[in-house]
Amino acid sequence: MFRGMQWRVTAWFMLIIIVGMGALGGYLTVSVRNVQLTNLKSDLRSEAVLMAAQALPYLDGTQDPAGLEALVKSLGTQTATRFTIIRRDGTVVADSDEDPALMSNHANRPEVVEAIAGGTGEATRLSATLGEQLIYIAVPVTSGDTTLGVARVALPSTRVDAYVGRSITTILIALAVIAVAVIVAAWLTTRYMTRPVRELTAAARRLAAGEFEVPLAQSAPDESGQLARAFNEMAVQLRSTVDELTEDRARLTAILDNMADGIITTDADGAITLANRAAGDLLGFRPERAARRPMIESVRDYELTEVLQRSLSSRRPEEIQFESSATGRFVRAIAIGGERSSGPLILLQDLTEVRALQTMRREIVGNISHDFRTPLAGIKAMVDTLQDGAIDDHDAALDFLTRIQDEVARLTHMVAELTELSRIETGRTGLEWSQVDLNALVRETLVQMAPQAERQQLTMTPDLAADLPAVPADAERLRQLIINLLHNAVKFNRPGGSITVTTRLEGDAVTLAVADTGLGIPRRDLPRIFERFYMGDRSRTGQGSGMGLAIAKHIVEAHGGSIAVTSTEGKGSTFIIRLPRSRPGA
Amino acid sequence: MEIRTAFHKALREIQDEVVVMGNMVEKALLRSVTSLKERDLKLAREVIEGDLKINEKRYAIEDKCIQLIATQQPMAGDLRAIIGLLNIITEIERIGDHAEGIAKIAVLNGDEPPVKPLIDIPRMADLVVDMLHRSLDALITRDADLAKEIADRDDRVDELYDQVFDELLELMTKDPSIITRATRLIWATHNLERSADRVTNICERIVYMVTGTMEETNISNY
Repeated sequence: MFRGMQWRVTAWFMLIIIVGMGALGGYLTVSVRNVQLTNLKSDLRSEAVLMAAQALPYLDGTQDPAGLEALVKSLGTQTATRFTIIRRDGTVVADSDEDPALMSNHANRPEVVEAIAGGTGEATRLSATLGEQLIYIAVPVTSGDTTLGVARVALPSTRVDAYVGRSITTILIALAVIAVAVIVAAWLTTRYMTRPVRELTAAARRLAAGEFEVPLAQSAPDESGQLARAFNEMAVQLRSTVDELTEDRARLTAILDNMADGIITTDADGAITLANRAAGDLLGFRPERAARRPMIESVRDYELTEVLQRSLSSRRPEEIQFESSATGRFVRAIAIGGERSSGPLILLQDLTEVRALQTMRREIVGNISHDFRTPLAGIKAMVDTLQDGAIDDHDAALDFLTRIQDEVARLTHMVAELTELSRIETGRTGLEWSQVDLNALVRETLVQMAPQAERQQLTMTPDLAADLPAVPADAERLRQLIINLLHNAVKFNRPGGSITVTTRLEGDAVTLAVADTGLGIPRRDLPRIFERFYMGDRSRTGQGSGMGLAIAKHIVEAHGGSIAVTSTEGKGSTFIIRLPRSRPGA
Repeated sequence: MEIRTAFHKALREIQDEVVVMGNMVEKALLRSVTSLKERDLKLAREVIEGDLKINEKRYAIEDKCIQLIATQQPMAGDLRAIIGLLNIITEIERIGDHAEGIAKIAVLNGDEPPVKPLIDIPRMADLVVDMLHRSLDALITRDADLAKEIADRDDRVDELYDQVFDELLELMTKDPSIITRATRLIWATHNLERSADRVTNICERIVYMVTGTMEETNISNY
């Protein structure tokens, strides 16, 4: 508190005033004393002259010298002053305070010597008679030109001092009052003067805390007003700068958060400074919690830590591909060398799909060659047999040819499916939209599939909703889809089993379910059965291209619908198709 | 005060190394089971080679712990923390060995078809890896409650172990020709079960580091 500017200024004022007043007091004391002393001495001299005039008749013999004693004593008591009358030879004739007979010869007293010489004698000394400090003034008692003696007046100097002291006390009190008044005035003035500084300090603090609305009163015409104006301008500038920065940051954050690739920035120690949402999703951590923590504590992946360390030491871009243990995603991480002040920036790309696609492509090639090899091998064997002479056996040759024809038909069908699938997948097929009566379509397809079902002793039961509205669809493709599902239901059923086809209206969609009582699908195969060429171990033993369900899925999705499957191993499977009642995008 | 700060910085760095090592083992376990499931011999050999790196890491961490004890002479809780980390890396390293064991089984199996679809074994591996991962979370945050909670999940792993064991036993009774391959799968499962037990040991260590008391959290049947 006492360190404030106001206090310091006041303290300086106090010092100056105390020193100044002290000097003034000292000076005044000395000069007042001198003046007083001079006045006193001149008064005493007047008294001495009067005394001399009074004493003259007694000394020149006109009156009895004995009367002088009484006169001196009386005057001395009245004026509280000591009077002494001394003859020219130095003998004391009368004294107001003492018995003259007891007093020594005064001829050699300095004031007496001077007075006898004709002047006014003056001295200050200890009185041998009274034992105190006295001021003496002596004048000659003259009759004509003859000096008869000396009239001397004496006053104790303590009385002089008391006299002078009173004046000085008055002066000092006045000075003290003035000093206090000046100090208070100084305190108030500095308080007033430093107010703008205090206000500025408070405003600067609020500004630092991010409060930009702190206008200072800037009306004062002096320097403080200028300072306030400058400060207000600065606040406005600062505000716009901060706004710009905030906006930039928001834009950057928006970009980062909407990027498909993950970004992690690090500091020179390899701790995370910033991570975007994609990075968090890819590696299974929460970006908002990662900041300022070592990489491994947030992104718990040692391979990423490794690439970061490598890049930190090599100061060059480093790359790694790894599978995240937290999310199972396959990630490519590129650490791009950091600047001096910061660590590397890590770019993360999700390669999971790419890798899955690569794997799938490998599988497809394997599957296709396998699926084509079997019928081709059959055809080749049968052709060989025919060449080796079977052609002459009419019945056998006919049988072989029929079987060759079947195999060729199968190959043709596979090629057609493959073509269809690739066409659907690249989106090059347009659908022929019309309002389709799903129940009618089911009945037709059931009739169509009846011979196959009978061969396996299967019963096919339609369970059709009576009030089923028509749905917008491509009738031909929908027929193909239902046949596909029925075909599977027949193929994977057990002899004597059943197939139930159900249609229902469910809100703004119609559903079609094909349930069989077959072998069911193992749980591990369920997620993959709609993939191209995916075949469970069981379907691999029979015939099939592995494309049926993939095509089914594409057809349903082209209609804006969905396909799902539930299955219990050993009990059967149910495929459920949902088709929306309104055309997608229409 | 400065010495304390230097000590805690060093301790945290060691702890981060432990977490790195933990993740190495997490991945080794996941990869070993994938190699077993998908008969991926290349991956299996990578896991076996990777175990060397895990062991090296363990010794490096151990060395740092000893140096820290020698130079800083920590007391009470700080000493407990270092000793705790030393024990934890031993357990993690052993889990790494279990992963290596599974990978070796994958190599032994070679291209032979599996005796049964591997469903529960990968599920067990996921559970163990999750337990290990979260136990290291508990280490980072010094969360004794979380550590205890994780240790309790060992039961779920034991259940799966029993299930797989019974299933394989039944298959072997039906078809003795698969006994060799089925027994190997039992080994693999056993490796996972042991790994889960070691995670519970880690959790006990964390509880000890935080509270200063040693608690046997889970009495396993195996």
